[in-house]
Amino acid sequence: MCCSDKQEQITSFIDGELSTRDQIELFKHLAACPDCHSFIDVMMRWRDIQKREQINYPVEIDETLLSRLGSLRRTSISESPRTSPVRSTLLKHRVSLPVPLAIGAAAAAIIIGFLLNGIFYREAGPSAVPVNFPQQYAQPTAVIFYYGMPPVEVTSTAMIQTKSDNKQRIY
Amino acid sequence: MIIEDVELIKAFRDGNDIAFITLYNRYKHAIHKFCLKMLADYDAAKDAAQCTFLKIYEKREQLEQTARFRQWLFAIARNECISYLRKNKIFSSLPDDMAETNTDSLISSVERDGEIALVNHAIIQLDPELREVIVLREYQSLSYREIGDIVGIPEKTVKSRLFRARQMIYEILKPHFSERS
Repeated sequence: MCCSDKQEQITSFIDGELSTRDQIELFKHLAACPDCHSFIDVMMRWRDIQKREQINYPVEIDETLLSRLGSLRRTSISESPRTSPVRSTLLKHRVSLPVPLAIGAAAAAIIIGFLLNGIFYREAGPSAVPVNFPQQYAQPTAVIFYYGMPPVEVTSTAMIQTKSDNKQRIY
Repeated sequence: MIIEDVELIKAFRDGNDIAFITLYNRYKHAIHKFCLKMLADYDAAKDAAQCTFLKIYEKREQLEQTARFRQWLFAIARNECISYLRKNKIFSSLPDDMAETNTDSLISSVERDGEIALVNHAIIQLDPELREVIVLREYQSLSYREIGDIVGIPEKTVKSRLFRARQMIYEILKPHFSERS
């Protein structure tokens, strides 16, 4: 086989490892050398053919592997106190939840939080009004209903009761 | 949502089995294909791929660099294939009669397409040290560096082995392709 160095360049070109300058030189050589032209032709054709090949994955591997993993896991659990006591203690506290269940648990925690907040807010209600605050200004001005919470009364220091229409305005 | 390999590998290393199954599903085709090309035997490739993933599972705590998981995976698959070839005494260059036998079994068990059979025939005639680099490059599209990491050789050696492998494949395929064209 002649042009060994050029054919080494051809393999670099196939792998995308040849510089632009070397590519120009190589193409000039290919135009004049039938052996090297044949070499690159066979390589490119081989590449096209191997890309067409479809290999079916044997599903038996999935089944066998999963069953063997199950036995491996059982073995490692039974052996773990002897081999790695620290790790096993840590693993005992690890909780894995499916994503929908985790989202549900988080939502439930938020709702319970709101409910508890409402209960404690109501209990702390009277102390929310300042002790020495003039009572004529500490009128209830609005009642807020919030889903999941008991009614909350809001007072304002900037409340003025007009004489003409006897309506309450909040500034 | 696609979870990145790095995250899965970290979870797998920490003992998360779901992460392992996800990684297995991502890489099982590549590993099986590599084993099949290396061994040219459907049953042996199946066993080698299976053993590879079992070893990955057992040795997960030994994985230090999550970024090099793919190299680690292929290195274990390669070791499985080499062990099989050594066990069956087909590690060195195949004598002509043995090469013929293996090629026949490959053709009968994997595919019947004439051109694909011809290409597989060429690959199986290569010495395993050349076969592994050409399979990793052509069928897995790995870089010289990744191949070097898997096989345990410098990039320059990867390059020279690829060249030798392609020269041999050329010598095998040239007469057939000349006939057809």
